[in-house]
Amino acid sequence: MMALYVVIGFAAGAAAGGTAAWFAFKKEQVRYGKLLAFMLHELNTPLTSLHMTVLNFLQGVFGPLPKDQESWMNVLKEQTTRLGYLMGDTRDFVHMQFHRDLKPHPEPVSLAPTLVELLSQMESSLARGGVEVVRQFADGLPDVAADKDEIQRILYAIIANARKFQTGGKVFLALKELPPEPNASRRELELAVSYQGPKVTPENAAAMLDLFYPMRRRDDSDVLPCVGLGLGFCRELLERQEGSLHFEVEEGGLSRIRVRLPVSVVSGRM
Amino acid sequence: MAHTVLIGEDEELILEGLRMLLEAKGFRVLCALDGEQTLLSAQREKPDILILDIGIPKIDGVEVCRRLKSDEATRGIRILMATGQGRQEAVKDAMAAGADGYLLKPFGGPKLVEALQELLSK
Repeated sequence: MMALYVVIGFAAGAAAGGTAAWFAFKKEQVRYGKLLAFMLHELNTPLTSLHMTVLNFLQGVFGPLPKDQESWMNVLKEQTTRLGYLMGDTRDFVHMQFHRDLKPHPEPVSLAPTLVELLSQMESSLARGGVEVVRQFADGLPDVAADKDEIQRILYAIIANARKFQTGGKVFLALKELPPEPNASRRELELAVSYQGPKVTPENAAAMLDLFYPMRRRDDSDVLPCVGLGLGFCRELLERQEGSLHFEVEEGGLSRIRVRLPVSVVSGRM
Repeated sequence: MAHTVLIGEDEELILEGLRMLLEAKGFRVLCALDGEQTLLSAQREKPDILILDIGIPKIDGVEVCRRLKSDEATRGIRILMATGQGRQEAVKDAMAAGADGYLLKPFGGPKLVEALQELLSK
């Protein structure tokens, strides 16, 4: 009997100790989250100064910009924009993983003009990489319900990913409404981003949608596994706004990233 | 007549960049480097819009917003909060204080002008 009491005592002690350790760990996580949020806030201020100054130069606020310097100023704009998106992603990551309070703010978003704007932001980097973007957008598409700020960053990351890993010099963007599934309760738009890329095994293709994939090295090359925080992070953000992300690679090496988002019920044109 | 915009921002480069941009866009621009100055300037000048940094010194942006929105004489000033914090904090703090909108840093001219036009059309 005594032995039973000892075992129960140990078990109860271990459980209490485990619970205390768990709460201490959670508290520490929140502390780190707050510190990271503060760091991001501090980084954002000089970035805003730089970004705004560059835009002011390009808009002629400080007087006419010499033509031969304009392309360099556009490169700076592109880089401060990219940095801003990365900061936004990191900020979301902190809220998602440390504070557990990341909530999307869906509103009607028109995807085609959003993509056109993003492509103009990436114009010089696409040109430097010798990448041609071939667009095929269906006409009269309805708006999607999405978090505008997040969706911009997600699409930017996906196109940047295609730009980095393409080997064929072309990236294809196809935007359309999916045919409704029988008894479907909602309509969806799909953006397919396709490019000829490195050979990827099905296992690796699946792993690329993992949040922690950026910590690995690609099994097909020595280059970094992804750009930004990776496709896994994009997938997490999309799923939080009732969208989805799929990645597939065909036999011949054609990679395709599919983003699906629900049509906005507020402004979705029938 | 030009719309008047008051900017409450303690980072000189951001303040100056905003001032030059908005003047180039035809706004009349007033500047304040801390919360006290912002409050006094808003009470005296009654601008159409106040662009207010949340982390401004002396009296923070949220408190400045709360005081202006609780005063009958200044309640009509449209307040656009600017913050480098996450949206979670910005939405919660700024909107609870009565702000009319918010901008996440980093932002540039086009985004700001679009936000100002949207507020002015309300």
